This record gives sequence, structure tokens and C-alpha cells, in this order.
Amino acid sequence: MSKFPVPLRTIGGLRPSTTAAISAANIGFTQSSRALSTGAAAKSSGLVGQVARQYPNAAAFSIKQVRLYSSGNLPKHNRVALPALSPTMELGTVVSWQKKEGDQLSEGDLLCEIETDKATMGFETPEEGYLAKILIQEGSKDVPIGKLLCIIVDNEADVAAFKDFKDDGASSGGSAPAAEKAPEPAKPAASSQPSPPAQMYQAPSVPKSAPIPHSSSGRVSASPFAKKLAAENGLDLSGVSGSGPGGRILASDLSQAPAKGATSTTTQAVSGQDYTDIPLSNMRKTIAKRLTESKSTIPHYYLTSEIQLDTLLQVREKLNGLLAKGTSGQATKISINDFIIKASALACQRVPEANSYWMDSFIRENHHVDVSVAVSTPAGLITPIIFNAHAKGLATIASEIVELAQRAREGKLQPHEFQGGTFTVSNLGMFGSVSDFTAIINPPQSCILAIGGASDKLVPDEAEGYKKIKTMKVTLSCDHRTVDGAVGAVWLRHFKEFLEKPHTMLL
Amino acid sequence: MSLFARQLQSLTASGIRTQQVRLASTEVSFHTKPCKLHKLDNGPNTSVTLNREDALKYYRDMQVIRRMESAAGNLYKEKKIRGFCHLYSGQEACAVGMKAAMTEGDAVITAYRCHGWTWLLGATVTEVLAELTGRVAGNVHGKGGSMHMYTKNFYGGNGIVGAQQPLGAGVALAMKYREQKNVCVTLYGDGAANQGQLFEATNMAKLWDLPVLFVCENNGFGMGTTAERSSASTEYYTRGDYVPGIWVDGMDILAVREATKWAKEYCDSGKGPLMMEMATYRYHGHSMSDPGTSYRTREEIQEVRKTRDPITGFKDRIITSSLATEEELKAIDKEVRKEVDEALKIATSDGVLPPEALYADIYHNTPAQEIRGATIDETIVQPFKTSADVLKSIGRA
Repeated sequence: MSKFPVPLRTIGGLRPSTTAAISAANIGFTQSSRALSTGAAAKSSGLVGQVARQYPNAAAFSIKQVRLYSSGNLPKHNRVALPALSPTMELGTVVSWQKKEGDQLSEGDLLCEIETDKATMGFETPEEGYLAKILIQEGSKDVPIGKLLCIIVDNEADVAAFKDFKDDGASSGGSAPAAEKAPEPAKPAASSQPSPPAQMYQAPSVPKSAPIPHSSSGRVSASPFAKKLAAENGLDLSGVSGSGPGGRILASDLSQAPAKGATSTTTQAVSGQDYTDIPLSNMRKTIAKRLTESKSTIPHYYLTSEIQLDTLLQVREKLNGLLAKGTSGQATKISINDFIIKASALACQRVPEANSYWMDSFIRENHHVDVSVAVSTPAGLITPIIFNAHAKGLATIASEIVELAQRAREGKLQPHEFQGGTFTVSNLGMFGSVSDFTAIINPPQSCILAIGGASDKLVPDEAEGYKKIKTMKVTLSCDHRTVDGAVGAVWLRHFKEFLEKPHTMLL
Repeated sequence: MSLFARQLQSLTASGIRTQQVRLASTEVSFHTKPCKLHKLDNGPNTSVTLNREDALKYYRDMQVIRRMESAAGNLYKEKKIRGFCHLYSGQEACAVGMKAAMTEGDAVITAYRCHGWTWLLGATVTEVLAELTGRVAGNVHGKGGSMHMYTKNFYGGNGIVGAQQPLGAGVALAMKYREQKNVCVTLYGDGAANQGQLFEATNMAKLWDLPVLFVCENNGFGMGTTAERSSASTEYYTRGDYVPGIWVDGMDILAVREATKWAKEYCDSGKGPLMMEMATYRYHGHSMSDPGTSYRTREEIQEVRKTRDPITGFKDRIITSSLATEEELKAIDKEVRKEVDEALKIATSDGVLPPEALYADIYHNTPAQEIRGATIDETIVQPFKTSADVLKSIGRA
């Protein structure tokens, strides 16, 4: 039922500090004993003598409710400190007082309600009498335990004396000190030395049986823990003599073990024939750090939608036809991705929550939609930005993307060109292998849209019985702190409408 | 729960605090609530006498336990007591009443609600409180804590629910073997009453007619479960089946004393074990992690405190019967408070045993043994064989 609070977990040389502490303690212990026997205990022994001597006096002590028999001109009273109402409670909040100043308190009366780290608990009066003064008012939050909570007096007539009582700070620091500053009427002059709190005696060094060289039967006899430590630290057990039963090697014997590296080179290898170790580039480090942080701290959730592309493809064909005739300057062909960027930007305008930043203490709603477009480069992922995408035409977006992607692959992007977008689109559709996927949000953004590949699909048709359509699946990853599920769904509805009826993007 | 409260109320209403008859100037006779009997033709007398000396002693004893437990509860809330702590407040009449009827050589064994019993059987308030705070001045020098305190003929608090019942039967077996005219008072709660060990111990106790009193201190709750919800039969005094039993009002110290006297005579006459049920009430939660108000209302507790409290009830009786004056009792209160306050000082300021004391007190009367610590590589030869040796080494023998 009870646990052994043994502070000696000595694993030989592996924990040098512990060993040192114990042997030092050993010295202290024997010294004290000697000092005591020669009768000079009080002077030389900080450990042993005092306890024995102070016990009858108990000069300084600390209890929570201190009975002050004469504290200046105040009558006799009890100081009640904020109690620990759960074993793990450190701070408390006084939720409500059930008694008023001047009220009579009998045993078992509910004094006040205190919110601990776990629950709101009733605090029963620890003392009979009258509540003279409340020092921690209702609603006081996160008060450390041990702080003066209230004052209880025995006689009703004494209540008035505490009307203007101010905590003199005697009990402000933790659970112990209330009494330390309190007047000690019976304090003997001799015991002016500070009182020992809880005297800890130190252990003498632990006698160990002499190490026995282990038998040479081939198998190395070692405790599982010793084997584990040896494996972790690359130690060779074959040369170690064990001190355990029958020469068994214990963890404490490992200090004499030679490193395996001395006899074998396998653990020293950096790069062998079977693998190559690649040093991390700054870009790789940044990707690792930011995405780990994002995925592990942002409450992601995912919404998937299937979008019919037939109309969009027709529009795109027409537009590209016009562009090819040179009606619109130098622009190249418009891709599906350009429609997606434009539609995302417009959907973000309709649903500004999706275009906002989580700023820890507030949410920033952005007025412009700057779409980050995930681009794969030989060095890693980078997200160049189409600024004000909601205000740009498809041709502009198309030419900007081409140019940005080109420079991204060459590693020539300026920081401002890939930092600070408000929404991200990640498209893996062009590989033909991905139907749909979920992407990791790029903080502090709130959403990222993952585009899968387009595929043919047969659907029921009233006229023909069935028809072939082209669809693509998109998945919106949302940060639930800024975008609730219904909001994300509305965003996707707008997005789907824009793509399925591209002319609505003109509205 | 409310059922229990009502039961208690009805007890009061029906007038257990009855008329007392003045016999002499120092001895007064009271009536107590009659005991319920199981397989018995007659039970303890309902007319009891009390003299002034005893009255003051019982009052003081109950106040010491109440005050000491309050102090323990406060120490716990200051985190000066850690781990287990079960308070006896509300049940004082059981312990003090039984102790009053015990004679030299009688033994007691109980569960973990043992602070009051430890004090009654010889430990000082300082020893109890310092044991709770784990200090050298403690009953077992801080090695036992709340559940493991011992004195001569007090076989301790026991941490395992129901484990003390067969042990108590064993103590009684020793008494019978030594042909002592003594009983072993074996206490358990209404929760532990459902432990199988009790029935095994009861069987052997009856088989061999051991002088054991199986006492169920029924405080109404096994942890947070009411007796009604946990026990198929809540008539705990009848549950020994072939072992006779009596039900006692455990909130009336005089009823408890009288019943225990009677039960002792029953055992001493060689009739074997007896079951006793003490109907009582616990004011605090089961332990310190139980606020005690989630399975019963605060009003119910306050109701019991107001109408059935063993101390205030007894106080009223002895004042109205002129055995003592209110001032005399107030003086006792003050004295008790002082005693507990003094004990508190030591319990919060004394030192603790050195760690090597953990290796002591393992075998009786052997040379120093090699003792394994938490792991095998901490095996050491006992630096000290007993706590007494440790204390001697630190000058506290």
C-alpha cells in the first residue's frame, strides 16, 4: 500500500552524481554521530543534534491555523489559509462565500466554495467561532495555497476588531510561513538559530560485495537492464566482471565496460554501402519544423467535395482557343489550376473566415486574398503567392503562375514572393495517380485546399439513361479554431459552384 | 441516504436521551436504547449508571479524538500529511465506549480508521499526529503513517479492507490458548462486512469458540456507497448466522460501554464469538480525497451533527444531570485544544528517520541480514536491525 521513498537508485558509475552525493552524505553522517558522542552536538552537527534537542522546545513551527494569543492589539484569533482540497492543487479560486463576516461558524458548516485544479469543492470551517474577516474575496482567481483566506475568532465581540484588518504578509508565501513571522510569546532566547524544517539524515555508503569475474562459459551472464544499457551505449560486455550472483553483470558494473567501438567499427560508420546520410538543408529543416508544428498543434479537420468539370473544361477550351489567336497578348494556356485559384480566391471573399489568420490571442481576417500555390522543386516544397487573386483575371493568374513556378524551380524567389499568403492550394492532380488527399495547413493560415486528379465517371441521365462526366475530388483542411465545420462546408459550396458554373465567377 | 438520516432522527425522537435517575451525588442512572438481539434471549441492561469521574474522562477522550482528527484534516489540507488519511470524527462514542468496558489484556485490531484507537490504547496525541506527518516522534517513528499505528495489545491499523478480521480471530486464538480471560475486539466497517474473510474467520471462531468480538462499525457508507446499496442484508449484527449478535446505538457512549461489558462477559464465559453492530455516522468523507458530499447531502450531515452527535449528546446529558457544569467542560475543551496544539508543533517540526531505517525492523532477533532494495543491485547488509538501533544512532533512543 505504501511506496518506498528510497532516494538511492545507484547504478554504479553511470550516475556519478548520485554516487557522489551518497558518499558525501556518509561522511556527514559519521561526523555527526561522533560529534554527538563527544557531546558537542549543538555546535558541529547540523543534522543530528538539533532535532534531539529542539524537540522539547520546538522553537519555530508552522501550522496553518495559527492561534495568536497576543498579536499587537488584536484579540485572540485563528488565521485560516487557503487549503489544498485536492492532492495536486497548487492554486485555487474562491467561487463563493457561504458565510458573511460576523456569522457564527459551527463544526461542519460550509465556509466557502473553492475551485481546485479538478473541481469546485466545499470548504468546511476548520474551527468553531465567528467569521471575523474575509481576506480573499469571492471570485479571486488562482490564489496560491497557504495564502491567508479568512480570520476566525472565538468571541462574537472580537469580530469588530478585524474590520480594517490587512494581511501583514505573514502568510503570503506558500503553505508554511504563516507562523514564522508570527509573534512567538514562548520563544526561548537560546534557540535563535533557524529551525530545521524536516531534517534529512543521509545514508551511509552502500556496502557492495566484491565483483566476481564471470565464468567463461561463452554466454555472457548479465541482467536485462545491463544488457539494455550496454546495447544503448555501445558497450562490450564480454570484458566486464560482474558483481551480481554467480558473476552476473549488473548495470552498476558497466562503468568498466570498454566501448564496442574499440574492437569493432560497425557503430562508428557514418555512411556505408547500404545507405546514404543526407545533411539537412535549411529549407528541409524549415519544412520539417513548420509542418510538424502545424500538424501537431492545429486542430485539423477535413471536408471533401466532388466537383464536375465538364462545363469548366468547355470554357477553358474556348478561352484557350481565343488566347491562341492572340487576342490577349502574351498569355499562355489557361490550366484547370488557374480556375481553381480564381475560384478559391472568390470563395474566400464570400467566406472570410477561411481567409483569416489564427494569431493565438485573436483572429485576423484578411481583406485581400493572397493565394499560396504549392510548388514542388528539387530542393523541396515552396509556396509562391498570387497576390490579390480575387481581383485578377485568369490570364494574369496563368502567366504569373508560370513565371513564379519557373523561378521557384531555379531557387530564385524572393522571400516576399513566398511568405505571407492567406490561403493555400496544393494540387497533385497532374500526376494522375492521386484521386484525393489531405494537406497540412500552412500556419498562420486557416485553410488549405488539396486537389486530386480528374477522372471519368458514369452517372444516371434522364435522357440517355447514363452519361459520362469528368470529376475531381478536392479536400479542404480547416483549422477548427478559426473555421467551424459549417463554415468550411459553405466555403466548399461556393467553390464548387464557381467551378461547375464558371460564368458565376463573373458576378 | 436520507433513509439513514431518518433512521437516526427517529432514534432521537423516540427518546434515547431519556430520564436519568439521581442515585447519589456522584452517580446518575440513565436509560439507553435497547439493543436488538440475534439468537440471544437477553441482552445488555438498558439502565446504566455513570459517575462524575467517568463522565469527565469519556467527555475528554471523545474531545481529544475529535480535535486530533480535525487537526489531521487541516494538516492534510496544508499538504503536511500525504497519502492515506481516514478520519474518525462522528464515531468517537464507539471507540471510547468500548475502551471504557475493556479490561487489562484485552486486545483491539481495526482497519485504517485507526487514529482514535491508537490514542485510546496508549499512544500520545503527539505520537499519532507526528506519525501522520512521518516524523521521528511518531508512533512508529514515521515508518507507518496513517494506517499503520500500533501499541501494546493494539494490533494496528490495517491497510487491506477486511484483512484484520482473520487476524483478530488469530489474536483471540492466542488468548484462548494461553487461557487468558480476555477478548479481542475485531473492528471492521459496513463495507468490509461483505468481505469473504469475515465469514471464514467467523466459522473458525465459532468452531473453536474463540473469545472474539466481531464489531461492525456501521457508519452508513462503504466509501461512497450506502449500506443499502452494497449489502443484501443491512442487519449486520445478524450476519454471523450461527454466531449471536447485538445491535448497539453507536452514537451513545453509555450504550456502547454497557453492550461491550455485556459482550465481554458473554465471551469470558466461554460461549465463543459475538457479533456487534454499532450504528454510527461519519462526518468527513471516506478519505481525504472524498469530499463526502457527493453521495449524501451536506444537510444530512449537519442534521446528524445537530441531533445525534456523540459528544454534544453526552455533554447535554452530563450537564442536565449535574454531573458536571458547562464551565468544567469548557475548561476540558481548552485543555484538549492546548494538548493538540502542542502536539501539532512537534508533528510539524520534528525530523524524519534516515533512509537506512527502511532496511530495519525486518526480522526479529537475527544477525544483520542482506536486504534487497528496490532493485537487486541495491542489496545491502542491514546497517541497523531495528528502529531502536537507528534512534540510538541519532541520539533519540
